[in-house]
Amino acid sequence: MDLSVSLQGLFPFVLILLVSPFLVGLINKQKAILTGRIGAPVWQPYYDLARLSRKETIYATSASFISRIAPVISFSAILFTLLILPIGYVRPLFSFNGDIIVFAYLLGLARFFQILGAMDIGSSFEGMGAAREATFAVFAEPIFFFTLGSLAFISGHTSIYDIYHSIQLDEPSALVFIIVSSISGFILLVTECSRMPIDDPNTHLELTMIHEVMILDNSGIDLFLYQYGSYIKIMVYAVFEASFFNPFSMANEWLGFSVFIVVIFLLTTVIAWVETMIARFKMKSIPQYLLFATAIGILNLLIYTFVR
Amino acid sequence: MTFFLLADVGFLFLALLVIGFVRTQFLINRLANLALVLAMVFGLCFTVSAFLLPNPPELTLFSQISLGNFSFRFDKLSLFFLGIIQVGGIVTALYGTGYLSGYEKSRSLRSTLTATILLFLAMQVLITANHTFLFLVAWELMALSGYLGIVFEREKEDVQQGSLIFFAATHIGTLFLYLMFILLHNQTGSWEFTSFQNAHLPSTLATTIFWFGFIGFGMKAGFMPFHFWLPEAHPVAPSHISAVLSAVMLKTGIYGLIRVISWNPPTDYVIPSILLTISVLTAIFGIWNALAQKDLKRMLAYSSIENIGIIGIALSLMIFGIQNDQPLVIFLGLTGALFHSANHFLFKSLLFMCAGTIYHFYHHRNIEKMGGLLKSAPTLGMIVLIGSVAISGLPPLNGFASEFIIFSGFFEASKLVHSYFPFFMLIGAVALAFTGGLALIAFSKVFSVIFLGNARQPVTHDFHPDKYEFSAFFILVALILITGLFPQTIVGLCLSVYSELFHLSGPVSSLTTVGRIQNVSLIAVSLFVVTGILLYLKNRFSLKRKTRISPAWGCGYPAQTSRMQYSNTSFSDEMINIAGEVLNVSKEKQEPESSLPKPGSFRTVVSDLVLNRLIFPANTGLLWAIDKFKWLQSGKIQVYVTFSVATLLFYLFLAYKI
Repeated sequence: MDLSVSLQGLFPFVLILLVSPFLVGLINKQKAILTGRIGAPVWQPYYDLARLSRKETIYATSASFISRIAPVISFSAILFTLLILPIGYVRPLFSFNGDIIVFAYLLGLARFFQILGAMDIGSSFEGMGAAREATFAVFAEPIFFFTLGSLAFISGHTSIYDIYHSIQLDEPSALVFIIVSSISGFILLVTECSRMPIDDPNTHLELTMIHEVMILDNSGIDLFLYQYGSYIKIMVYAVFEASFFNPFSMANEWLGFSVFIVVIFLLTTVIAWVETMIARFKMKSIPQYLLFATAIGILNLLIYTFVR
Repeated sequence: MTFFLLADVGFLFLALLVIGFVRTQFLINRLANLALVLAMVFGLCFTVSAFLLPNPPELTLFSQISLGNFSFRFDKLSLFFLGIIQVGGIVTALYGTGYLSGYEKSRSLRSTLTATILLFLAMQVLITANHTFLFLVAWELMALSGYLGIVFEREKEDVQQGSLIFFAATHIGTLFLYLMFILLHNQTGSWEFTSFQNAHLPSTLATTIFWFGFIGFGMKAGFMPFHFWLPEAHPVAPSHISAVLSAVMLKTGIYGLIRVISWNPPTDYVIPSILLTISVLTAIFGIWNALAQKDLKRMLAYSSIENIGIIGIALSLMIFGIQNDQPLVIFLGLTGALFHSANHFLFKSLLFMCAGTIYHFYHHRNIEKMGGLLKSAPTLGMIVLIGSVAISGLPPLNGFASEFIIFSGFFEASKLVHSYFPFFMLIGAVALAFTGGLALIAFSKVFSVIFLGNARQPVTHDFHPDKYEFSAFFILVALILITGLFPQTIVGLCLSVYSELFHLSGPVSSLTTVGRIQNVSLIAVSLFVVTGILLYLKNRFSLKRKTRISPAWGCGYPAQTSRMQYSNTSFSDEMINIAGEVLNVSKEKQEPESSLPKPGSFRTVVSDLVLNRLIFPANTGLLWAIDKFKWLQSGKIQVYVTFSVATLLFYLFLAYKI
């Protein structure tokens, strides 16, 4: 591989690593403003991470070595999704035909070890969170495959980089694709990153949580890895979503760049707004909600099939 | 090369002699299994050297004028599956030595060892047979010895029922194979497999032959709705036999299907669509049922059904490719099927064997009563963890590599645009992803409930690893790692199978697929390395920081017991409820009523839909109908003679008429 191409691929990797806590800080700040508080500074997630890395690590008496390795493996899997994800025109480090499958399954690997890490505690709270996480993830998977898969089928490419680049603005259907994909992409983000209305990232009542309850007994460096991993995951999905607007950079690179930034910022606003306005769904109705989102994902291909 | 083959068969017979003439159980167990290992090692030498030859070697046993050559033909498709069988033989013999050593004093091992050896003899013969009679004899021998293997603990009632269902199912399957072969013979006038190739069958006949083959081989492989015997037979067999049945014997069904397809590819355009639908339903039904099981081995049996479904998805892609004349799709479909067969063999034998070791530790198979095993058996835990990650189809292990190829097949096939076709392919791809998601729940759950947390019931004895059992585990784990990190090796083998089977010299595009799989290998290896480095760094880091052990957070409730942990059923309760009707779930609840409550109870029962709603009722109906003809059985010899004469006269009449 060419060195300059590799360096170019490493650039988004480093950028996301640096920026992702900021994104969460941005969401939290806007939420605070919407609820009439001043709120923590935007940099708070950085402080949190720094604090966690200094703290001592506590392991449960029932925990085995799985608790010690699970956070690392799940973090490492999330890091690898970064290496596949393109930002705008920057080609990622790994880009090949079929990398969308690798992307989805790497997130699966991360989830697998989070579930194991939670179940290792042997407490019913973690078990509950793990069971819910596993169940809802099954219904989130079709959303990803229908959304990105239909774009792959339409464009004939199976690499995320190529798929994004095949969306042409001058085709009339492109706008429809962008709208449909960004709606289902948003629902995917909400589900996978445990935000409202699927999960409440703020509550500390164990019975109502999913992601937070899974990491209830983690502390110190383990919690650092889990938290940082979840920040990165939000950033990954935000970039994933913003990349649907890639075609704008066809006309003008700076226009594309600004659209990219604006979309990500709007996304944080929408997340904050949704979390302020909407209560979490009942656990029972979450699968139905996700199936509805799956149906939106299918729309892409239906439109394509019948317009042609 | 002939030497290797002779050594293979010779050691198998030596093993039979050992069983017949050696007195002590201890020696029988060691020597017979040793002979089986040696036979399989020599067999593997033969397989490897034959695979390197450009043309398939043939071996004629004897010729008969009217029936043709009774011969074996070692083409690359056969050799691929032969390799699976032989590696399976090595690990089975190793594991079996350890597994059976506990029974040496209590019961005779002769019958089960004979069954194992005959099973491997039969499977090797049928995979390489080039003559219908040889094939069918070996097929029957395989079914019989499989039955003998299952009935090891014959005094138990569930063993009797499970083995009987296996026996009945396999015979119904064989019946359809007879029909298929007779139809083929009528068309070609020969019993030899090589002459079945390109028989220019009329379209309807080709379709009939395909469906007969599908029922016959699909019964063995376990496609829905013919899957019902697997969850009954596999749990009750001794674990090394379960591993052979599930990981190796099911593949003979897959082999048969690929053969039938390669002889005369079905031309009917509906066939691959139906096959795809059946396979998708098989996969989802299998894994959803696996999610609901409490019995560890029954759960693994359902997971086998899922994996057969995935292989079926790949096969239907292959037929799509043949019908549309797309070499790349054929290649991806065939490779997906072969690679996933090999992978399923590796991780399913591993998991079944580990299930046997777990069974010997707990003396029961109920997952709900296990827990916290990782502390007493960390190595076993790591091995099961590797198996679980692999079978869930997660990178960097081998299950992912084969599913990746099948996904690629879907994406390639979608380019053959007929109006609705991409839509159909997309639903197939999403179903495969959905199956993967369910497998992830099923196996993360099973691993967590057995190995993590606290013991749900107190266990007083220690875990003693057996060196024979663990040597089998290590071989399988090594193979899983190799095929997972370097999948291009197996894909390379599949490429040569493909070019021989379809008489195509691999087009350039299929070579790019081998290149594509190298990317998967690159990701897998780097994921492995990076995770290792991160683990090392974290270890170094946490040495500097303080760590402390403290009780888990109980949310203010001090009297937690280990039974309050999330159990197997509660973990998957939501998923089970969603599919309640299909899974045939019933919940029995006894609430502790009144002010002085009596003990209450709660039970979730999941029974197989097809077996309990279709087969058993049909069986009852059949018995009822037969009962109506009881009066024929008068017990008088005169009446029976009259029946015989009447039947003979009827046949004479028929013969005269025709």
